[in-house]
Amino acid sequence: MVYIVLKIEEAVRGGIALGLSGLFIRVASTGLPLDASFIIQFFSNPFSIFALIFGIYGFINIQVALYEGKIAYVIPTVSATSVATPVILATIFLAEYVPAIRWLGMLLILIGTIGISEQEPEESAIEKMVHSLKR
Amino acid sequence: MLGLILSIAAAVLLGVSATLQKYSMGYLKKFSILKLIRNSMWQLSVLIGLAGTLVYLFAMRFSPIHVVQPVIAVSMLIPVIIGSFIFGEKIGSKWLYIIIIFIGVWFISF
Repeated sequence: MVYIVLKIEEAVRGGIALGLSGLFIRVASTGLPLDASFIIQFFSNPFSIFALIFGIYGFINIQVALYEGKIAYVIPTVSATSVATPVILATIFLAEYVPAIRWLGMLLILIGTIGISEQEPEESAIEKMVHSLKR
Repeated sequence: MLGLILSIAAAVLLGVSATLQKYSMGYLKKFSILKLIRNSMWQLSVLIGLAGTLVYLFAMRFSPIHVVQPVIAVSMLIPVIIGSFIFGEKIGSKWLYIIIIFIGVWFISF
């Protein structure tokens, strides 16, 4: 039986927030000239504020996830959700065409993220004894 | 070529930044962002992360996104490897899922 525990809840939340931040950065920076006025024009766009808010929220969530979870689980989850979120949202709201390989990528990310969040099997009594002896 | 080199540099910097962030949390008994901000190693990790982001932006100027993005996806492997071999995190059969996520991110980057 598979138990899904949300040990990586903060990592998923952080990744989605970073993905949203990236999307807002893209919207706010589209069409801006690449000169000295770029930063001023970027921050005068209201979407840049959303990008900043989601960026900070995502960053804090990732810090919590790194504190509570294993780095080997947190970073892949954050990377995956932050990459997949803008693609999904761009498909829904901007009606962008998504090639089959990207859908396959998102399916693999979903499978992998669920797999990582599965509860690890409990140690047997013998394994616990062996580990305590090793310590 | 310059774009590819910058992408690899950005991937390494971002990977090292995440690893240092985790490492700098070792002394915390309870999570506190204020305590983290005062930690010099955490500050260094954030600076490295910002440097990585800047290098990433430069890489985007020199190379198309379909070259840069798959390389950046590699950055997530660095903390996984360091977590396993240096921090001694037990990954066990979850390696399979990490590889599946990695392939998924790689596909999306195309």
